[in-house]
Amino acid sequence: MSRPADHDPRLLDLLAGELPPAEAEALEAELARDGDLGAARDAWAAVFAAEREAFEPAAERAALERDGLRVAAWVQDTVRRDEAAAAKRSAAAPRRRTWARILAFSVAAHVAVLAVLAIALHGGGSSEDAGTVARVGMGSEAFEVEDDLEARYANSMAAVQWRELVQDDLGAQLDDAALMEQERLPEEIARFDFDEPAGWGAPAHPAEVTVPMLRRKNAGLKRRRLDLLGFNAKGSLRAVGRGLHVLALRQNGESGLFEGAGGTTSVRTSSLATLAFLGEGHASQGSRTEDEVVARAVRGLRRTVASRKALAAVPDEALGPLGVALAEDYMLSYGSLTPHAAGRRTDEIERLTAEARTRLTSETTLAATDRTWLVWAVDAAQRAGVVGSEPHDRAAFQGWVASTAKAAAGDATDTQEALAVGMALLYAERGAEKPRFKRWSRTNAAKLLEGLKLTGEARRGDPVGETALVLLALQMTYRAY
Amino acid sequence: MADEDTELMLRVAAGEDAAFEPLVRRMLPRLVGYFRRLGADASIAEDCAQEVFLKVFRARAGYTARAKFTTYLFHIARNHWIDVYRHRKAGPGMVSAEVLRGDGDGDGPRREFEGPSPQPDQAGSHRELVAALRRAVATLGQEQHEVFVLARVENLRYQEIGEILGIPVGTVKSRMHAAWRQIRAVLRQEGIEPP
Repeated sequence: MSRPADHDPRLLDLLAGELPPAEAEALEAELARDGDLGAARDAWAAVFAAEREAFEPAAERAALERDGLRVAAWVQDTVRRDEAAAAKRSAAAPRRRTWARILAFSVAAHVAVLAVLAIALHGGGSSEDAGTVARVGMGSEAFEVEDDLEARYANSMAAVQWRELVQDDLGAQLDDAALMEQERLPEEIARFDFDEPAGWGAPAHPAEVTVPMLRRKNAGLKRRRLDLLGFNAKGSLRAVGRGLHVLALRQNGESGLFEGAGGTTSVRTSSLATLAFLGEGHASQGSRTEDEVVARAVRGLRRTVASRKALAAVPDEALGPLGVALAEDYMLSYGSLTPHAAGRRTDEIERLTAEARTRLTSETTLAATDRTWLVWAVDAAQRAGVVGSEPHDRAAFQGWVASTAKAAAGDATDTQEALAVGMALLYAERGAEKPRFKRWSRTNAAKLLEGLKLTGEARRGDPVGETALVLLALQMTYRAY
Repeated sequence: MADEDTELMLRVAAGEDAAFEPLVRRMLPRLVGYFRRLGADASIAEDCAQEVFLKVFRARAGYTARAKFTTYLFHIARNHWIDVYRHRKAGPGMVSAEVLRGDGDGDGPRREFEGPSPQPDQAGSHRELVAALRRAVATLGQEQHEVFVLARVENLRYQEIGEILGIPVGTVKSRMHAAWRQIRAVLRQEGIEPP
């Protein structure tokens, strides 16, 4: 019994171009003579073509070829940045190891003492139990913090970050380590007397509140926590990097603002995009490429706040993000170590905060999301020490937090929820009652990550604002956990 | 003489970064097609392709033209997919972009690997054929699937596949034949024949 023609393996090899030339020639001659064999070849050819179209659609192929430029630029930027960081780490490695041992020994000793204290206090039912235990917990993170120190010395803002690091993360028990670390700082930073309280900043900037909300602390630890929740932290960080690259490409060279659909710019979109960069630690006074993007954007945004009159024209939905962007950049750039050098840069933030307070107290029809952003703007200005905490702010504070929680518990989007979670946890850290809302699930995290990937396709539409929001939500996730 | 892709990569290895862009433009569609055949949806396939280029560029200084660049590239791509697959199996799984867009039915990763079912509005015979082909490819055994995917990436020869997978060319050929027959059989079971 002969086999059906379409079972002839030579047909498959012929169509795949794998038949040796002599055999191919012989088969072609046979195909010309044998109608059944020819029909079988045509049928297989149709399957081959359909398979190609199923997985490599012609239209998509052309789009991907066009995307090659973007992908190549992103790859080269990413690798060069990594290589530069690795070279810096490698150059500093011997000294770093020595200091790491000294710091580790110091931290271990303090942790041991605090652990004993914590146990003793716990047994006595002291009201300070929670704080003491928290400090012990922070001590265990010291090694991770030390691991991150090298990157923090990249520019002159290292002292600000180091000061925050010591006071926020480890507490006063690491003051001796701070003294040791002076020797590692650049000369101009080392001039500060770390042992002198005045050196830490003006009284108007109490250190415990000047914490940029967007700054990611203990990144490695949080990554592990997030991964335990099912969040692909490494993947999300890569996605954030790509997202920022896309945003940078959409910055208008003249205005410094970010362009949305049709090349138009808006204060809200530009503020959100600026915040996305700030969330990765880039600030207008830094020296990295992305810092220059922030510097341009901040200059553009400040021009829109040139006068109170101009500010009145900024819509509610834009005012909050604008205020947060300028205040957070101020904190990341100047902290409280050099308040006088910042000088007049606070004018715009003061005007913005006044306008935000006016709207919060006088407008009853504010949307919940806009209200949340305005509260954040006021809060950020206070934390930056640019404005004081007004009595009516304090009175309204719980109400604002409650509205934030309500937005988070309702039918808010994933990004709104992420922002609300971040805000609420920040407020909880500052003594406010922690609001109740549904806890983030890993599904939400996965959706966010996917949402960011989708911007690859959405780039052909109006991607900047949405991309920035998703980036912020991812960054808030780190802040929240 | 080396092929054009290999020449480009050698220039990248020599420090000529400008040669990387045409290389990416040429290879990006093929890499994305490769990952889609392995079961990734469009956004994940694009993401994987970018990660592979990242690895290639990181390792550029050590590149030598011991084989064609495509052989080298898809070797990295295959290893990357294995990592992704392991991560998915170990982790909670990602919601596919199609599901989020409402194109899928919410089954998540399983749907990604099988390809979407034909929708009621996809009445055209071509779309039915495409959907059936994705399902048919998803029925292939692992060994057949691996060979099939590599072979269907344009210009990747049986010899190269053998080098990538470390198997004889004859084995590649027999697996390819078996794969095509399986696909054809599934299409026939579904009452579909290509035009």
